Amino acid sequence: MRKLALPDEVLLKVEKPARYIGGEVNSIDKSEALAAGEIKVRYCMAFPDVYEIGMSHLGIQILYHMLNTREDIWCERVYSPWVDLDAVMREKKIPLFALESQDPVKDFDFLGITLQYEMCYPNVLQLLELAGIPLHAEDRGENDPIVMGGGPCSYNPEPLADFFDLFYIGEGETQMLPLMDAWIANRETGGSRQDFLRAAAKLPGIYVPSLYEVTYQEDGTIASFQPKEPGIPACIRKEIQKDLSHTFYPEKPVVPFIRATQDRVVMEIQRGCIRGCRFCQAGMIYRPVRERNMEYLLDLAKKMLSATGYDELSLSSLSSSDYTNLQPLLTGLMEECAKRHVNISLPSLRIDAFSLDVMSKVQDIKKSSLTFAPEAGTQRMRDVINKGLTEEDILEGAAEAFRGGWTKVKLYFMLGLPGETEEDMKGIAELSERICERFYDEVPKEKRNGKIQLTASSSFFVPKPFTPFQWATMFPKEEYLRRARLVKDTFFHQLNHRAMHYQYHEADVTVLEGILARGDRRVAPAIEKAYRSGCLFDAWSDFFDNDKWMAAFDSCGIDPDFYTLRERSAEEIFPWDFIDIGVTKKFLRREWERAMQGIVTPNCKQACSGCGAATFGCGICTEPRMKDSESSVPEGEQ
Amino acid sequence: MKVRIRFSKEGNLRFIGHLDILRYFQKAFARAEIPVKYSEGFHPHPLMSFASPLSVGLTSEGEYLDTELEDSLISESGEEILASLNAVMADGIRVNSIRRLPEGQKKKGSSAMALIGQADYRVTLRSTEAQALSREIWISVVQHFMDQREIIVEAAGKKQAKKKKRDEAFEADRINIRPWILSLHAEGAGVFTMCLSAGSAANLKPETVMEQLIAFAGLERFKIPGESGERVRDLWLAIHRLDMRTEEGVSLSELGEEISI
Repeated sequence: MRKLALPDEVLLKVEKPARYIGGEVNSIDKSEALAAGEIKVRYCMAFPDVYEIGMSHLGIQILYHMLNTREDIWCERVYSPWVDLDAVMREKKIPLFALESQDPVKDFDFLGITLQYEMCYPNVLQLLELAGIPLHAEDRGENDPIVMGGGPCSYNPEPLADFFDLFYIGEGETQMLPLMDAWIANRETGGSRQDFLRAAAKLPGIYVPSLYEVTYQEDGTIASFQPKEPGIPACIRKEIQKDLSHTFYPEKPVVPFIRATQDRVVMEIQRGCIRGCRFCQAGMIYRPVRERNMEYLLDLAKKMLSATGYDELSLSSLSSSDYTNLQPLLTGLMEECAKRHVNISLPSLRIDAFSLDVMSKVQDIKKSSLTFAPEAGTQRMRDVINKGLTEEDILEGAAEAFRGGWTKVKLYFMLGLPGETEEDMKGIAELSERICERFYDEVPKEKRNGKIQLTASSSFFVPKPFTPFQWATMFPKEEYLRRARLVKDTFFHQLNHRAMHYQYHEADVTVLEGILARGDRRVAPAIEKAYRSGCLFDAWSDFFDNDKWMAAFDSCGIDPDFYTLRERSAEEIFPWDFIDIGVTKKFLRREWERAMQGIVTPNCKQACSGCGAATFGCGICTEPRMKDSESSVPEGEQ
Repeated sequence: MKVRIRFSKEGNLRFIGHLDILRYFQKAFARAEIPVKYSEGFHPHPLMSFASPLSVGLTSEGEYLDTELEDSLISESGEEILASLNAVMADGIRVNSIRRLPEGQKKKGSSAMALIGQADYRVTLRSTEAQALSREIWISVVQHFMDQREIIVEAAGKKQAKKKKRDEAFEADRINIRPWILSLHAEGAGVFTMCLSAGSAANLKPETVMEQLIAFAGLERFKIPGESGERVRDLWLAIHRLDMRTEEGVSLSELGEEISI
């Protein structure tokens, strides 16, 4: 029996003890190799949120199994202890431990923390503090683990720069093992922590914040961002796995005992997106889109289902409908899955005749609802955000669905987009109304399978780094709420308002997310202060406490408006400008200007718009495109 | 083919709850590529049921699950099925017997859950002082305890509990549990084995028996476990289920027939 870090009286007192005992099917135990002295690197991979959320994350599964293919590396996992255990660990001084060995995280060589959303930043500090690792990188000693960050938020790592020894910028498949080798080599030659960080900083994709210096102008914007010493690169290019059909993928994902948020096999069919929505960070930072080969996926699905026993397979991508061979892929998968009593779930599908046909085969029409993401209420606004979706597409898709027997529709919108007018806000309710009307037009009375139920929800738009909207200004909390109330009011005046339900997200979380997303190094003390004053699990509305955050900014002398309400000039140096994602700032700026003029830019399959991602020489950038849209590409920019 | 599988749930798996074990087995059968029959309808679910839920924190070597396998498996022996299941088990859970149940019997009372009449337990007092007490003393305590004609406990059933909330006029039911203690033995070092009534008619928990025994002997200080001194649920006891039996005392693993090719 594996030893446990927590005694029985603790495990029987906390909610869901299975979060902390490890030993899940397909988890990897190298305790014998460790005892035999064969392990050279102990790596602890962390997700700064509760177990059920963290276990649903594909990226960690990929890196966990990839690192563990190496006999001299043992990669383990840790998640945020839930608030009940957090209190017990502090009271009883139980150090944070990894699930597999149950050993203290402080004894590891690396602690890798994935940064998936800004609201988990205080949980990063919780992990460090519970582990007994100094919060500030500068205070760490030779025996402390190297604390590294990765994931989408590390595309603007600056608000967390003080807390991390290094960041990995980009996709983990390429440089993780070289980084481990650099660490082994450094130790074998008797190098210090600082020696390793210097060596790491010279590897592609690795950013060591302590080796860079930022100066500011009088108005608070950045004057310069430079390496402190020669030999350290001024610019860090994101890492990218060019060929996704010949790379590492976890064939035996870890299967939790308790139900995770994603309680299913997740198969990533492609990475990146052709669409170029101007608000979407994922659509830019993962460029260019790269598909995984269909035969590879069919084989992978079989292996993963056999190794896990899951009864559901989910295809993961930013826009599944854009996968070239979706039809044959689904046919093949449905055949395999039917044999095994496995359901297929298809998030992010465009609603058309084909996808409805597929969905009617894999889902219960009566129970399932169809999801559309028009994102904006008017065509004008959809053009501004470059959502390549017309009202005709939406209404036709809905009509097709109604004819197929669906009665439940979900719609996702954003509010507070740049240049949004009252007409755009009202458009959310008006478009929803037209969808309802279409239901009654489309389905004759005798064939109606109940009433239409439409749920529209809106979130408030947060500008993210590396998007055309990175120049956008945000609004004060009150203004977001005014807009949401205006939409709600418009819903109330629609003919079918009884069939429609409208909900909107919290506004204060939006403002905070906005500060953290485009923050710089000066924001770090406020994050620490907020954590010290009790902020934790801020992604959970039960725990989010806006007053504590605002007090933290105040006491650190930080003006949140500087990050949210300020107009940013075309020349401004952004905190994240030292990162090169392939897509150029020039392209993003051009997209921003086209957005302001309401001009649509073709997607990558239609034509190349010269974003810069072609520099990686892979994916769609190396494939022929449709010619018909070439005229819409700005001249001389291809 | 209807089968009954006996399994053990030990070690760290004691922290996994009953419903999660059900989901665990659904996946385990799929991993072992042993096809389980599914229910009819739009939301088919595997046909699988457990004899009796085991509380979190308890271990067992006598758990039972009934399921129905696709007939394509007729070419495999029981041992082969067990081997392929054990090859995909998590550490702490093992299947150790499989028996074919009579076909076609849809009559009430043939499921493992309905058959249970008794359950065997091994209970250990964690208190180091209790463990130091000699076996002879415990034997004599148990003998006097069992010699009682009545052992009365105040049972707060669900109905009463609700009533209590409503109007505070709460009257506890007084139940004589002595007839439900079918056997109780002191094994030494604070260890006891017992056979208790179980199932839907009368279900006696081992912790209830121990509460009574300790109170009878005036040894309530043993309710504090040795190491930490903290009172959490029933932490002063380590409870291990040994087996489940019918009303007549036949182990559920002895019903049905062996599966051979």
